Amino acid sequence: MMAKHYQYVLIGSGVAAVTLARQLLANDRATSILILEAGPRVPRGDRRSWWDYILSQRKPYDFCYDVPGENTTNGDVDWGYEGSRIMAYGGSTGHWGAWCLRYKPEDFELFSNTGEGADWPISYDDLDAYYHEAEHYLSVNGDCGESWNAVRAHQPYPRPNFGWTEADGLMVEAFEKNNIEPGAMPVARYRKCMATGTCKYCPIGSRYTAQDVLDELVQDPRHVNLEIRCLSPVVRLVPDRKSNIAAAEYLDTKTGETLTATGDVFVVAAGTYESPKLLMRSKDRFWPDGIGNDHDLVGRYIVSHSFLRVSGSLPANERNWVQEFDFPTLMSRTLDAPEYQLDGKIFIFKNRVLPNVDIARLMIQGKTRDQIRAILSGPMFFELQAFYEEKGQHRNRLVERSGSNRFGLPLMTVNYLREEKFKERADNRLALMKPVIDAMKCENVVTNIDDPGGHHASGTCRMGASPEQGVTDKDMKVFGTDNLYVCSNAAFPTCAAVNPTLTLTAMTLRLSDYLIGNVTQQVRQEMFA
Amino acid sequence: MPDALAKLPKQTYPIALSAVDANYLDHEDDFLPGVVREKLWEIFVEIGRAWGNVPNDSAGLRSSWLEFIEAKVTRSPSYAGEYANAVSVMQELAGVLGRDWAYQQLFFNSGVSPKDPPVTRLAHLKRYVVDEFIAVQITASGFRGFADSIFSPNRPLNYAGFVRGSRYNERPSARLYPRQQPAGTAEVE
Repeated sequence: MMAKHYQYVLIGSGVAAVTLARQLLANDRATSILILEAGPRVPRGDRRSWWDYILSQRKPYDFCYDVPGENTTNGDVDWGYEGSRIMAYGGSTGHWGAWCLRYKPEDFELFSNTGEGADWPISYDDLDAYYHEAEHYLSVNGDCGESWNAVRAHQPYPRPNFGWTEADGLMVEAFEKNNIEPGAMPVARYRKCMATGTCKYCPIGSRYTAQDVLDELVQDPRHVNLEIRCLSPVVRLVPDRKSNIAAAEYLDTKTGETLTATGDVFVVAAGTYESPKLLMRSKDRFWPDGIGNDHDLVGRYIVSHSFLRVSGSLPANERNWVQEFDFPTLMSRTLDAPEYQLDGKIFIFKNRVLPNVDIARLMIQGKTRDQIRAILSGPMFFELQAFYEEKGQHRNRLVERSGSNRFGLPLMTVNYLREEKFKERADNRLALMKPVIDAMKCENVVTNIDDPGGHHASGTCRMGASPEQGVTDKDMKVFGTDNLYVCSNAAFPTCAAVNPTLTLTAMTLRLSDYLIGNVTQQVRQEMFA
Repeated sequence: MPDALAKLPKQTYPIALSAVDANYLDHEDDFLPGVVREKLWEIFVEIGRAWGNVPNDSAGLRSSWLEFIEAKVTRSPSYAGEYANAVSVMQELAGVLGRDWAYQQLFFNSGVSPKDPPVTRLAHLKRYVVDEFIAVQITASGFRGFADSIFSPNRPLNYAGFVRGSRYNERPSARLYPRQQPAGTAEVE
């Protein structure tokens, strides 16, 4: 069968691929784009599925998670794969919390500031306007009055922030007693958000998901050359010379047939796990160690956030506080500041589900009204949580191993060792958090350091100033190629202390401008040749 | 405390305590006769009465409940078999124990463990009907009735799954901390 040719072949269908497709199509509705997605399409907005979620916490996309034990870890931590990504049409925005925080200027200069980690080959200023555009695209609700937002003085959020809940009040005051500025969590929510507390499967599509945007793109009759193929994992990329990728070979898992798509531009937007795996297994005479891997960097520097937690309890809950939103409304970036960068910045926030009592469960257990009221008014629990910033290390690496998962994606191992000073540094950060819980007069205070997990994994195809420093350049183009890009958290040289998706969206908008500019330039050159 | 329903003599409750598969019970079609629906509604109303957390015999929750029932019957896996079973078992329990005591025992002393697979018709009634109706009732605003009073100003305004209705933009989503950040920092409101 003759391979079909496209201007753009996008691998993956998460926020990066979908945002890129949206921008390319907005520029030229006739642009030919093929999106290859390994996973299935899971219906959204289905009322039965939503009720099932209410009743059992069972989500319709649960089967699209990594199966426990399938992927492995070597090292001194147990890398958390479970529940961290959705392999499906729309990617992990199907379950994300939609916390949208910008990286801060110092995050782009980590190595210069600390002698550890890496610098980005771009600065905050290069991304500033794209952050603003991304916040509008994702419909972020936020508060510009916070001190850390001074950097964005002329860029208000498109939506006002959600207020602190009454149950946040104690922690707000405890922050202030510790000279920590309380802030509002910026989250991507449309105006119709009804705060039903079921954000992981919103019944009204109020939270941004790439799937909804992709559906709109597909249904738009002007997009005659847009194709999406689900259940189609890419097997390898095929160059016809070292600098040019000619084709993507992919598997139709419904038929078992291997198909080929040729293209002008290839964008790997398959996340921090799949992007390096695809490059590594695309070996040929031009790239004997895999595409972009001449310097043995693909898959290295994998890093994510470790989760720090300080919890405690108060003896009574007189106002029967329960968590009334399913997302945190209280956070602070006071400890996510340059002076904390060397030992690791932390982004702190109140546990989104506490205090809480599952009233229905108590009724199901046969508790009486009086018993339930006593529990509601009894001890309540609070927890202050933090993402702790770690630095990417050369020795840490994601590698493929034999076998594949149910969607035809190769299994993997993460080799991961903590930084040498990790424990000491993390304990220092817990020591900054604990006074907050103490100031709330909580009892039974407990601190925890969780293992890192895949939710915010990054770094495996990181950008660098040169091929010796990174897999991709400042435009996320793979060094040594002219038409291959990695548009993913995989390209991030650092993971900062906050969630990566807003930054990824901004980077994608920047890439789309670059690609559209390149095409325009190419057309001009051809016209005047 | 009297014996739990699940511990009662089998010969007295041949329907409720008969053994069945733990999977959803089969039914010929995905249609719910009106009489079955109204018997189910009675169970739902009795939940509100038993815990005293919903006013007006749950009349204000009927539309939410109907939407739930519709989704459960018309979409796979259909609950038509579970609902037919629930009516049969409830009829037997009420016939032997009396209606009010049957509900009291079913809600507070069923002897059916939420952790074990439901392998009797009684367990199916508890797991797939009563327990699910409780969850629906709580998310459809029943959570509020566990505050000081159903009409208390201090009761929670929101809960996982609670959808406020058509005037949602005019009502607060949650009890807010009275001291908020300075307003007016967004472009639109």
